[in-house]
Amino acid sequence: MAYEFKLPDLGEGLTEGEIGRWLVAEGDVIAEDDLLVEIQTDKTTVEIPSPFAGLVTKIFVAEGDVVPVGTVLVAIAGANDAAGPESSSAPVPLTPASAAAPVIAAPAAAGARVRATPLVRRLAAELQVDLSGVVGTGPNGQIVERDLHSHAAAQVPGEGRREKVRGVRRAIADHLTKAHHEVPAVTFVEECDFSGVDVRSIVPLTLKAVAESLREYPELNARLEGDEIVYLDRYDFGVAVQTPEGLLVPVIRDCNERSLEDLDAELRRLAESARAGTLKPEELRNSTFTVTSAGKLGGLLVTPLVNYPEVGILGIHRIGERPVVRDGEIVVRSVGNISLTFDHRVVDGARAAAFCLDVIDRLQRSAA
Amino acid sequence: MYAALADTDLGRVIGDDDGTGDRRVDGVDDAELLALYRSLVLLRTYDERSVVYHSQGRIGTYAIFWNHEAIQAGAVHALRDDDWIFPSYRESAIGLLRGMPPTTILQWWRGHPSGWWNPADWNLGSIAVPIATQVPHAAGLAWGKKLRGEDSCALVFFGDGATSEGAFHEGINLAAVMNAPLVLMCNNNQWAISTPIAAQTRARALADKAVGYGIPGVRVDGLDVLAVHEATRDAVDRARAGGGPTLIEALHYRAAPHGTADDPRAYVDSARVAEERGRECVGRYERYLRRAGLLDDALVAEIKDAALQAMREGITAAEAEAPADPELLFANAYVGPPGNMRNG
Repeated sequence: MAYEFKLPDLGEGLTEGEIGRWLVAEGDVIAEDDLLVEIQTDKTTVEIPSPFAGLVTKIFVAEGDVVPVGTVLVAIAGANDAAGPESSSAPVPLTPASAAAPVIAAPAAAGARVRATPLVRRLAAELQVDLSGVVGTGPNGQIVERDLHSHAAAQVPGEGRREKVRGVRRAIADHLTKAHHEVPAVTFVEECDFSGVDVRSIVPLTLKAVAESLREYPELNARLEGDEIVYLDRYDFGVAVQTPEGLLVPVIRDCNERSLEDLDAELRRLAESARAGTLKPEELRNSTFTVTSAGKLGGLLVTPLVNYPEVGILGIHRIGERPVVRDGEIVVRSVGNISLTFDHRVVDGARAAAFCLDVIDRLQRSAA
Repeated sequence: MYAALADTDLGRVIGDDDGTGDRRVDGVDDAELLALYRSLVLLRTYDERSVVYHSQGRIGTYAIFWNHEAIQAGAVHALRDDDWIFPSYRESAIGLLRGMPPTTILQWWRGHPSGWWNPADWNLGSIAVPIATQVPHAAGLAWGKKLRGEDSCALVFFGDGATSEGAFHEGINLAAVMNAPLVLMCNNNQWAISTPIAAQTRARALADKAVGYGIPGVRVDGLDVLAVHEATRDAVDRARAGGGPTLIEALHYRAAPHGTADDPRAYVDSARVAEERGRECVGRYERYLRRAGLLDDALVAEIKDAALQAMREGITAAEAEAPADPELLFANAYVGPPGNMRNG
């Protein structure tokens, strides 16, 4: 007997899930309750144990694919009736394929029987649609007329090369969309004179200065939750790190209690882990404020996005020798811009500016 | 603050794992001690398998009760079959302890009509999903028992969040005023989904609320099945003797998600969860029984196998039943269905 395992509703009315990781491969012989696959939903990651014992004959959906509930994920064959009463009958699916479920990608299993009425088959022929590539949302996965239309609509050739957004890029996209939609952000920028400052340690120096200044401006070490501002007593700062996969923001804990050497060492460790892809999830969570610095690529000014749900992000921009006026004379000094992008719902411009100037003052005073 | 409350004022019977503090409950013999263990294992197995079945799409969303088994079994074992039980969704499988087949409860979570029972067949109210609505039901039933001159009583389960609801107040107050034979079992796992107990109440302890209703309030360790059992038995004895209701607060800390649609890592204290899981109630009672010489590996294996077998048969039978007719959703809703219900 062969079984098909379909993506269940793993929450309360979920319509889709992302295939995180396959825990079996085609050709594996598995026992009942062996873990099959890891599914990511909007809320959490769930490891699904197999309801059947037998041979994994076919995996239909690739890691990273987002598929509707009801999609056949894997076929398992050869489960014999002696495997136990639990696996001797195929489960009756609980979740009828929902008409509202967005059809993203899930061609029918190769060789699987296509279910469709003669009317739908005729319409498919007229539309030149191959029914084996259409996802059925009718009873028992039957292909109904609306499936043909949505399939045909999805097949309209578009321009350019298309690539699925997944993994880190997808997380970044979701996060930044939220930050951009929710936070009315304002950017304040001012010059900083770095002459005599050890710019090789600019990030640790800035983390230290920010930790000190935030004590006086607690509304920037905070988050907005509903109708409350939560003032945080942790000084855990995110530091933006560019990796081949995309931008990651690992978190340095307790920046207020660390020495410069310690901040520097922790920064190096996290940056290396970020580039090596070995950061643990907890090393990416729960920062209270973020610092971003892109060195030579830092620009005269960029407008960073607030790292939601934080209130502020401080940017260090390109530092270089520039002519400036000191005591009525034009002199060459090492100068760069410092920006503060902040959530205007929580902080007013004057306070934000005062905070940024306070950080600049601390940095300038660190000059040897 | 609640968090400052020492747990030294919690009733306990099971001692530490080295046996310090172990007691016996008067009147609970060896057979009853083992029966309690079987009930704990049955509930635990039901819960763990249900989470698996949910992830396989075989039951719908499910309210997990992992580590709440001591409260459920401890309380029900203090009742007679003619006493009534009013469960919340957290006690969905409580019928198992009355002999209800697992299939029935699995079907409830599958949204199948055969998952509903006639409360009078089991002296078991239907599973209350709205918060605290079952408290007035239980108060009314208990009052009715008194009016009829019967000596049976009612026991109602609810959570910490329910104590903030109007229905809780109405039910407990009516039961107290009418001197109804009611046991109010508050499962205080300190989380109402994601609302912590400190955001729920300023009370020192939920059991203290009893004072305002003029009834006794008792606080026990919710992971100590015998402490729950003893407190419930005392409350039942008082109820039968005409002493009126008792509020029991069984304190623990929710060590599993609220339900299968919940990811508590977003709000819960994971260190506290790890600590609580280390004291989980079935293993703790198992070690107590082993210290008392009542349980060995062979018997543990036999009891666990029997529970697992019951679940396997339960899910097989549930899946063998014909799916429900969706028309049933409308069948008894209207005498004359309005026109728009017929569209689409």
